Amino acid sequence: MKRFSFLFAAMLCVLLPGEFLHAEEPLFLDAEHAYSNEEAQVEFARLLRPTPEHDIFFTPIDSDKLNAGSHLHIFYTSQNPLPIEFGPQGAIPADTLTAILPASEHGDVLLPLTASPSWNNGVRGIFLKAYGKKGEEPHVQKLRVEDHLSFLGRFVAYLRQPFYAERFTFSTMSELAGYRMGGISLSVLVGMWMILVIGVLIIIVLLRTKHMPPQHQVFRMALITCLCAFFFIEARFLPDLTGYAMRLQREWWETGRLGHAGDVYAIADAVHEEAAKGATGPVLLCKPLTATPLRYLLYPIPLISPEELTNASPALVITDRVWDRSMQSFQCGKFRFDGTLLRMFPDGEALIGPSTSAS
Amino acid sequence: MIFFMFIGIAVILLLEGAMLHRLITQSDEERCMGFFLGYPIGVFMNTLIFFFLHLFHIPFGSISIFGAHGVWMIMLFILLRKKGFALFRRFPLKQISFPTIPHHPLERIFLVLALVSIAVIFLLGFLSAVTLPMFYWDSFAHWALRAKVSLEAGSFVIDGVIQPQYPVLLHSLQMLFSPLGFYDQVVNTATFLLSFTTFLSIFYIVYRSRDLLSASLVLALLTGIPLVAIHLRQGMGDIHIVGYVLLSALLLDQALSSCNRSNLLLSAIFVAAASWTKYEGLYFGVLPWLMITVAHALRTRSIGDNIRYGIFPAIILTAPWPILTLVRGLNLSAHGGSFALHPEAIPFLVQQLFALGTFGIHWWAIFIIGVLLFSVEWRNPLRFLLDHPSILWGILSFILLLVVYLFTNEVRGLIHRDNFSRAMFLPTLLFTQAFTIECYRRFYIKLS
Repeated sequence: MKRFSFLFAAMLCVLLPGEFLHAEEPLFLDAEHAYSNEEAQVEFARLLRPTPEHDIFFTPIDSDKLNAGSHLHIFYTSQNPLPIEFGPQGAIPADTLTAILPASEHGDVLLPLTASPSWNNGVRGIFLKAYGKKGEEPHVQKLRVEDHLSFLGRFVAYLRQPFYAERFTFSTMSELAGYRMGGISLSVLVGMWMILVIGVLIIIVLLRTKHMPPQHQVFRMALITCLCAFFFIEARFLPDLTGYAMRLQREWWETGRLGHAGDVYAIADAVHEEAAKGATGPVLLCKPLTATPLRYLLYPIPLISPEELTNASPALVITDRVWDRSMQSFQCGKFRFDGTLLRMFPDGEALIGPSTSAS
Repeated sequence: MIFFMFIGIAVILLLEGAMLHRLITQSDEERCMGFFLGYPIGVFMNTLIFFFLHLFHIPFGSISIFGAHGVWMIMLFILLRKKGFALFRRFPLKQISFPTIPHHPLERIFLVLALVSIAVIFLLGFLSAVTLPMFYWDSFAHWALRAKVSLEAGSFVIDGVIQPQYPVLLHSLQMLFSPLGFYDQVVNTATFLLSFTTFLSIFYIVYRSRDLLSASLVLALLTGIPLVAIHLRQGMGDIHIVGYVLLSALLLDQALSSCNRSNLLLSAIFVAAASWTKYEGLYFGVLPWLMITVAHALRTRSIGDNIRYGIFPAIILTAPWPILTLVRGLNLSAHGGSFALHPEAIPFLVQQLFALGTFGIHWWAIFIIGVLLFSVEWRNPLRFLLDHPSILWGILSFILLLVVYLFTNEVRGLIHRDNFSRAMFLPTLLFTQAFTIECYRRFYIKLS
């Protein structure tokens, strides 16, 4: 009986996930496999509410000297909640993880690296970007990579990785990251499997009949193997594509926002409303990233940049980093101006009018 | 109201295309095919109409645009009557051979999976086009804004726009639907309809020459490439280039194997349409097409026919926009640069094709089937390629793309994962279409 209880205890040690065995002082947090980098950064900005004086920035930390392991242990100090992006070193951008660490003077958290499909137990080194506001800088004191997973835990982590959803980002029209398992692409694994299956089938026929299989048989085997692999990948990808499509539809119908385009449609509608009320003249855009869609959405209302301001007097101004409804003085690039806040948008953009000349 | 007007305009394009198809094929038996190919041909005709309005300084407007379409339709109608054809005769239902369901369980499973995959992808594309606004930066920057500005100006605006040399097929299509108001959903649906009808035509052509299973598999394999499924939601021109090129390749295969003049002419029209969509259509579509047709003409010594029904129409239909671009003092591409090998880009190339999710397992399958095909045809690969223009086209466009992305400044697009995968649509889909049909044709999947 005693021997069995020893065996049972030994099996528990091997099989149980490490968290239960090692959890002590640090705070365990979940790592998010963010929907897209752009949307994660919008979330960070909403959380930190940066202003032109206290703009958002990040401190990049790259370390290849850390051990291999399953969890990232961070010791830090921050007076604000601390958004971070992190992952195994060399991970493709789509496998970046995010987390929001609580504000703390003596922060001590443990985050799983396994949620990144680029992670495998042998990979050394991590990268980390800690986001903060200028003037209220967070400080990452120490980083440690620790192994908190048993053999079974690692195995389960690998099995879970291909089920993390495909990420649809600004770059999706040019590239899809696909799925990975222990850092190896599912396309590579399935591709190798295809070659192996076709090779084995040819060898089986060769051994049985002592002749190479006839051409039509080889091509039949190849086509059927390729089709099986194709439908396997489709079965994994189509639910993600459907989920993404449904998410966009819901977002558009419920909030008027759309993925990485964010609030540009609501901003354009607000400008059109103001123009209908009689605001005439060009619109000054202080956030160049949205110039392309806004130029289309606002046409024929002209859109000007701060550099073109000298020859025109704008009727309205679109700027960002506005979180306070009582604000009366705004920043546009390097210009500061006074105006009336007409509309605020969830990501910190604002429509301001009537515009005054830049000072 | 908008819905009915939309349908009306789409029907105008479809009828124009169907009538032109009928004139080219000069056969009552091809009427059904004409209705499948009608919209893609009509969209190209619409582009030429806009181009000539621009050329003759006739301002774009509802009267000039629809007047020109009316004149064009009347001309086609008169020509059809002269030839003794009647377009509005009872629809030739007998021409449609209704599909037979395969008997073997595995074939049935593949058929069901293929149809489900096709249905889901097109349904998602349709929903996106019909309900969502413009979403992608390229459509904002290159199509929609320029279409709006050109409509306002009454002619194609070339000065003061991003990439003024960008060909005008998609802009013309969007402007045609402008009497409905320049709604994002309307113009997105018009471009979705173009993708939908090109792929439906591919399905029908394969179905007509083979069977339901092969047509379904070809279409599922083409649209099931993850990046293609994304592009079917509209927003970039690449999907339309590839749609036209695939149609052209299918018809070229049939034209060269059976010396069919009308298919050669249709193939020339579709490849020219690809060049009016984006300049990639000129370099990776028209250029290889001309090489293949010239090689075929020399090989079969049917130079006259190939020039009259293939090479000449392709050049005449392709040339106007590049000539206008050159006359305006613009380059034929917004890209370009010095020529030198960039070996550092090779790992990125391998990763993009084989290890990311962009193409799923397609390049693995292309590699496997390609090796098997050429191991069978190793005695005379050149003859095999000349007999299979689609495969040769895939190889030529792949080589041209490798030269562009490994030897010029375009290497940026590969290393920064910018436009390489989109450019690779062309060889990927050409190989997928050609290899599937070839495997199916020569080595049959008849399990029963």
